[in-house]
Amino acid sequence: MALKTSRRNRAAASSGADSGAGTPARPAAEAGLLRRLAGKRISLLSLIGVVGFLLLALVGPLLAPYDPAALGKTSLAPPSAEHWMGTDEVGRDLFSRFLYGSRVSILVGCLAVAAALVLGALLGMVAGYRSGSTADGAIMRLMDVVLAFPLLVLVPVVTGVIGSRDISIGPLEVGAEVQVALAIGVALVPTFARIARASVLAEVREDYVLAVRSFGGRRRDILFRNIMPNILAPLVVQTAFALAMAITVEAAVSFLGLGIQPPGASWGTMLADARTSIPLGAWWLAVFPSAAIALFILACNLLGDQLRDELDPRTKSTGSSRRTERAESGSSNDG
Amino acid sequence: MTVEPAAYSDEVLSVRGLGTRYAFQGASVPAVRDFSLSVREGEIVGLVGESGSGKSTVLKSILGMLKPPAEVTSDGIFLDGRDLREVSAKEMRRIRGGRLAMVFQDPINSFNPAWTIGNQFRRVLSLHCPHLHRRDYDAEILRLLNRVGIDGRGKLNSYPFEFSQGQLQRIMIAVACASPDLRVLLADEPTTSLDVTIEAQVLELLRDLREERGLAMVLVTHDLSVVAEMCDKVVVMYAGRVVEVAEVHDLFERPQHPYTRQLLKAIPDFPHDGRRLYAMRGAVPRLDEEVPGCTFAPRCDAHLGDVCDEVPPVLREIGPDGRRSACHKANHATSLEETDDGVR
Amino acid sequence: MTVSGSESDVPVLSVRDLRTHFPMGGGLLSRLTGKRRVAHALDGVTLDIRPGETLAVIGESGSGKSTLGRTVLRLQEPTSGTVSFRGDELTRLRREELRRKRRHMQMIFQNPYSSVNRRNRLRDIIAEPMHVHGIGSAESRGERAIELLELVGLNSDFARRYPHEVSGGQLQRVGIARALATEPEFLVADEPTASLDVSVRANTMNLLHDLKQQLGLTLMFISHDLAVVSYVADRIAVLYLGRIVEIGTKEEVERAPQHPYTQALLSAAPSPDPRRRGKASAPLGEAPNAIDRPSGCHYHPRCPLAVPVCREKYPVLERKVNGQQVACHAVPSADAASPA
Repeated sequence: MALKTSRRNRAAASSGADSGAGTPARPAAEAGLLRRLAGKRISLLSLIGVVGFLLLALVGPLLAPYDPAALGKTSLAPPSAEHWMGTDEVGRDLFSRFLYGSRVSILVGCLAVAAALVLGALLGMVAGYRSGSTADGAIMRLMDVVLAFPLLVLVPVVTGVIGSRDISIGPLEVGAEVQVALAIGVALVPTFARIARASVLAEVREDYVLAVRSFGGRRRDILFRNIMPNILAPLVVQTAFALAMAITVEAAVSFLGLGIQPPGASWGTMLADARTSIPLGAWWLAVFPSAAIALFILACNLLGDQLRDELDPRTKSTGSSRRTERAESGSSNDG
Repeated sequence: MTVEPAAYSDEVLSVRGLGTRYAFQGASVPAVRDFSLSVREGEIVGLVGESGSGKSTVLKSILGMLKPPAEVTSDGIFLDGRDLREVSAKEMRRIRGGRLAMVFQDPINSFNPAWTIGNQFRRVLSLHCPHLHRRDYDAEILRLLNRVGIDGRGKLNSYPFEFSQGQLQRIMIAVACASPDLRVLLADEPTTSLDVTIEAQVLELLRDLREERGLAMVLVTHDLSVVAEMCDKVVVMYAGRVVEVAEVHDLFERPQHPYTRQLLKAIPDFPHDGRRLYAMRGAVPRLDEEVPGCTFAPRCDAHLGDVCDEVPPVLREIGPDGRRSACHKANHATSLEETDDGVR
Repeated sequence: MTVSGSESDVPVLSVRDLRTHFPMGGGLLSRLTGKRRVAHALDGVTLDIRPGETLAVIGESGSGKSTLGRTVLRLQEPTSGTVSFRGDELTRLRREELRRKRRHMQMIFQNPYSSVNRRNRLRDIIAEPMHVHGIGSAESRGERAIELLELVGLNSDFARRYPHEVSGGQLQRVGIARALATEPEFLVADEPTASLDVSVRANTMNLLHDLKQQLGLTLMFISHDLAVVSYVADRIAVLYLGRIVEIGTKEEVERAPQHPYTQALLSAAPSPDPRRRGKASAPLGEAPNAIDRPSGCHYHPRCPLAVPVCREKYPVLERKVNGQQVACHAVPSADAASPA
């Protein structure tokens, strides 16, 4: 306990020193966000978890001892020095499949969230800035329609529509993974759109928006130069939660055989493969992918919570002393 | 201040050596230092200062409304001779709104928007008027509202948004005065959010209530005009410290502390003759800023030299009727007359 | 002043019969019955501001003074009426034309903290208007921002600071510097000192006064406080429920206010002198709101001079005996031989 508070104090003191020097690199709210996150044990662990998985996705396959699709001699071998996670029914090395599968699952998750973030934020910002207009109504009703479908129905339907085979558009080849990712992304758009719209609605009432209009700012000056940086915090928080959601959905859809197709590996397809073997006592087939899913989701959610605590102005006093004084004495000089 | 409690038999509220600290960026910073106050029955004491002077913090500290990490220390907060530090939390709740009530600056945010005025009023009565029968509540509410100039008939089921700012401020005053035991009314900028024409009405109402019920009041304001209009005694605060205490006429005619003088000088004349406005240098120091000597020294027009920058002045008696000032110049001056330059 | 004599007769801003009405949301019932209630924030305002002149607009909350400031800059679309800036009818300009015009007319806001983007450095805040109008390079804009900082009395150390690192008075100076960045000739200042501490208010007023002289600015100064405008105003307009009830030179309105409401405003303000305690007199009753306005002259329920005709007919704004224009039945007009 004592250790934790002293660390927090140090982080606060150092960010205070930054602003005292008069040349902080960024506003105090963000100065050393990473440093502040690293200062608390829970957020440090969740940060390590998420970053660790992302690294796994990037470099994992380089470490794979075998070809993930190569059939081996021993089927259903338990974990051993030779096969760290054992082998499956047809003798493929599970550790290699896990490394490749992690890359697919995590990249699908990240791509889905990135697509949802960009599209959702854009739609939400337009809707929020022109709230009450036809555009606002149309966008938000469309979001309602998307939200009306359960995720597990929506994603297969969307992948079904665009077909889950590789598509070649000229020289560009869109893999099945990308299609699954985009489908999941579509399902996640409404959450981002709603958050962006609500944040913009709050910002639009601020005088600075009127000020930008008053000196002749175009809509793009207002939305992208001024409002957008101010609404990033809630979107960043949501990104962490959405990543967890995207991973779950990918696993579930692939498990049902509607997402990533065999022989490609992902955490979901590995679980699907495990179905038939578990009655034979091959626990290792299910344990490693499920553990990965659980850990990754836990890390994402914890990180999201911590980010919310750090970025939400209501739970944190990052304002200046003068602001604090004002709050303390009421705005005693309105007169 | 070290007023003997026996000196004034009619003293209703006395605060001694109050200090309040806030947690700010991981450090504990003083918002109020060594604050003392004595209020007699029927007396209106003004607490004047700019934002950041700690005047509202004083009221909150007296009422016990500050929660950790804010720290409140004092040598005693006495209401009718009873030390509020020794009162249980349960009893403190009865005292707040009972013998000691507060009127806030912003009437709209001081009411619960989801409850009718009648319901909010009834709750207060049930807490602070235990002898009153439930069926008599509405008659009592109408009487109290009538007293503040509002005909409450048919309006008890209205919600706060259905009233204007000025009406809500009166209703809040009526609520604050609901308890028959009320001794001291603490008013935090009660007219700041009101228009001039409504402000005058509310000030008049507060004055009448004082006459009728012999209420003592502590009136927190940044507006010296309101002080001139209302108060008997004035406590001037700057950056968390008391810099001057005086009877109201003395304060306006013979201000002693340079801050008081400069504040008075900063009020523009009306109608204005086009002369350049007097402007004070600099700004109120930040909460976490340590000023070694007198906190006002960097802005002071009567700066004496090193002594002001290095030694914090003591609040000391400089005249009759509890007249006090915290300025090195008061010690240097042989008489009061020597220091009356440049006052309007 | 940079304005030549022949030009000075042409008003910089002329407002004709300007009306801004806001439909009120109302409950479901009133929507179904089709009776939308309307707030008459501005209801037929006509005024001119001549080059180099400062017109103060005085009024209490709900008088429509802020709406007036925003409508003359067309930050709020008027319901009817016209606003002309240097002969160009702003109310008819298309969006891009209006946007270009905006560099000549700027605004200073009441709350310095909320009117700047809290994430930008002061230098970038000041340079923003130049950026949106494509004036100069990023580098020259930065230099100009520092010049402007110095113009408003802040040294160049402030350029790299953030809004939360400076005091309210300093930030208000930044707001003024930003308003001057595109070298406008007309400024609307909406209660620029109301959120400042007493001790720094005078600084800001002096600065505005100096800049006005130095740059030959034309100013619309909106305030609720007659004492504040007394220092900067050349003429004063008093607004009550969306209409001008009195307008005249500063001397006329201050020394001999004619409209009972102006008189009430003057006498209601408490004076900083305990010897004059209790002299402040308040008009009766509550300020009515812009939705349910009293019939006839809107001020009649609070007016000590009210006569029966006040309940029925809104008085014409006309020149009265003292010289200023007043909208009141009880004040004799300039050409009437005897009091009505």
